Amino acid sequence: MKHRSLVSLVGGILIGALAMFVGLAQAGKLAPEQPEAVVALAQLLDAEHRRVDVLLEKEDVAGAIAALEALREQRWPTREEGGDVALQLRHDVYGRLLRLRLDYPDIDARPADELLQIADEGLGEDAAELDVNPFTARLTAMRGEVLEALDRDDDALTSYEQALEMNRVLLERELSGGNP
Amino acid sequence: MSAGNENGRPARKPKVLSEDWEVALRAGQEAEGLAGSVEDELAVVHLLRHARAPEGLAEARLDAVWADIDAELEASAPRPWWRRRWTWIGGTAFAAAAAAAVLVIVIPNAGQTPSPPVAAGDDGEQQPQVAVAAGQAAALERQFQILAPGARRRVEQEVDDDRGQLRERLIAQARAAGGGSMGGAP
Repeated sequence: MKHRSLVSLVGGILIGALAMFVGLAQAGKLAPEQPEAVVALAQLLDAEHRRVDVLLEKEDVAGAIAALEALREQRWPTREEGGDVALQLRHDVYGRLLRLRLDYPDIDARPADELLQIADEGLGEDAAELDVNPFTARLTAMRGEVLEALDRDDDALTSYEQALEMNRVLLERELSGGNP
Repeated sequence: MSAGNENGRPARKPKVLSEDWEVALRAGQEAEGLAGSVEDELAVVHLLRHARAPEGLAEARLDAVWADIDAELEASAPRPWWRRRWTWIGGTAFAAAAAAAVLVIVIPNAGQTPSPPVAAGDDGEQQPQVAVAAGQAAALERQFQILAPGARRRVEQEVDDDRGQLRERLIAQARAAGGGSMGGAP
């Protein structure tokens, strides 16, 4: 009888520890309160990305930029509504837009301070709370490029360092076989 | 026969190697009107004298002898490959060609000296910018290209998970609205 209760105690401890580790592992990622918002957003963006791909294949950079600019107008789910994945989707779209704007400065030209506004709008206020991912790192790096164009070298360096640190973490995770 | 000395012992004959022989030979030669040669005999006497007590050579003479020996050896012995002239000339040329190949092929941008970007300051003076390398952004973009495919797959997986949650929720709502039955099933 005494032996049985000891086994139960050890089993309970193990299960509790396992639950704790699972909870800690998921701590960096916020599950969406509204999965339907994420699903709808992902479907929309999937279609838009494909459209941009086709436009770029036709070398219609202006059309691609216009399509991505149009996406800025929609309402993006918050982190609470859509979880981390919604923010990653947003950073991906803004990163693509900013990349085109930086690579083709003569098409629908915008001043550098407006590009900085795009970068900040895309990153939002909760980017720092987001689990490390390549889309946020890329958008942060491009924010550095815009700051460099504005001769704000110190701020640019900060952005580059942040992006490099994110990529370092991601590459380490990749090399260790983890889930970035 | 022989004269005695002060101790009464007979006087010793001059030894073969004594210089007296040379003096006596020269005197005899002069007495005979310098007829005949005594050089061969004297040469033998010198040789025997030298064999008995080798005479040291003067320093300069010794150096000259060794120099002659070295010259003879150097002329006759084959040189090792690393001391041959063509080894040095060919080796130097090969090293120079290899260095040029490395610079041109392996490091294509080596010939371009990177110059730090400069920008005009407020006072109009040219100031070196902070070392914000243009390659920094390019390197980050390349890293993104490496990381992006995996990240997109994970995002798709999470969206699929959300879709599954949504489907379950809708089914549950439908069941609740249908009074615990769905599609006529009990």
